[in-house]
Amino acid sequence: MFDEKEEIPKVLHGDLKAFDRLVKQYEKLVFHVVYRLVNEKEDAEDICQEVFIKIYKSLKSFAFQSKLSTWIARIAYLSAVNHLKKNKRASLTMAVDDLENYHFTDKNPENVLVEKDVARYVNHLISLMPDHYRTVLTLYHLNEFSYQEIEDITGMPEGTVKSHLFRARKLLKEKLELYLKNEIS
Amino acid sequence: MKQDHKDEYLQKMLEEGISEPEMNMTISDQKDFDTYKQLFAVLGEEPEAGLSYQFSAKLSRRISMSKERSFPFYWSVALVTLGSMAAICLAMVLIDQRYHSGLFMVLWSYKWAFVFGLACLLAIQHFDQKLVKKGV
Repeated sequence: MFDEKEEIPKVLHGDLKAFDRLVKQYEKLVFHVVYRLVNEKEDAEDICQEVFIKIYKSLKSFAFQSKLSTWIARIAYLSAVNHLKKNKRASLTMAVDDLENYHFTDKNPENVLVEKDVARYVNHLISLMPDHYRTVLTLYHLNEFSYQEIEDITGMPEGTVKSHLFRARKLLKEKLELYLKNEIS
Repeated sequence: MKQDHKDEYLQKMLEEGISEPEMNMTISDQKDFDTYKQLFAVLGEEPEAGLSYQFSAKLSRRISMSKERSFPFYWSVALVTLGSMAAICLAMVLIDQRYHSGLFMVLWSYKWAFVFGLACLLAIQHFDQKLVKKGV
């Protein structure tokens, strides 16, 4: 069990083993947030390294006003968003109205192969979704953050977080419903 | 709109950890509930991809290398500054005799100011490093 109140001062005193324990505790959280946004494993790993270096350098500014996981997830989220901005991903600039009217466009032969497995299919659909949808889905379901914590991490108002989460799940459920229907018939 | 309310209700049930549909639900609502249940299960699963096995080792190596590089930096700056000043003064004295009584004497009269300035610079750098390490 990682005790942040005990381990953080050790890291600040230059104890690299304590930092290693911190990395092992939070590497999955950081990877999930980054990978869901970036979608490229190699890019995600590089960004994760940068995230942990930022954490190491700025840990002294962590004032225990939130959970360490929330603080780390925010750094990971902002780093991934910066990476996307640098690579000029169109979906980042998508307006909210467009998000509300979002529809999947995944009908090509390659994607048909993915549809053989429910989990793979759902993950594939998530990868096609706008960044905000992917972020809230990951933070809520995979990392089990509350709405308030997601607001702290992403800066989106809680109402927007709820709305994105609802819309994302509904879109996925509609696609999954069709998928399951085709599986049975 | 009505469909949205129904979906909202079903999603809320699952968020609250209810795993069985209500008895009074229609068959269609029960089917929707089951689909959502399956979806929630998948959303909670970790992705197949993950960080490489040596990720934390590579990271530790990178951090310790950067620490080794950054720690003696302010000492290097001080030494280079002091060395350069001494070399310039010495060169001036050796090259031109006029500096024995001219510029060299002026610089010499401010020697304690130079020493004090340099000591302050080193002290600030040193305590800055110490305080950062202690997390003050």
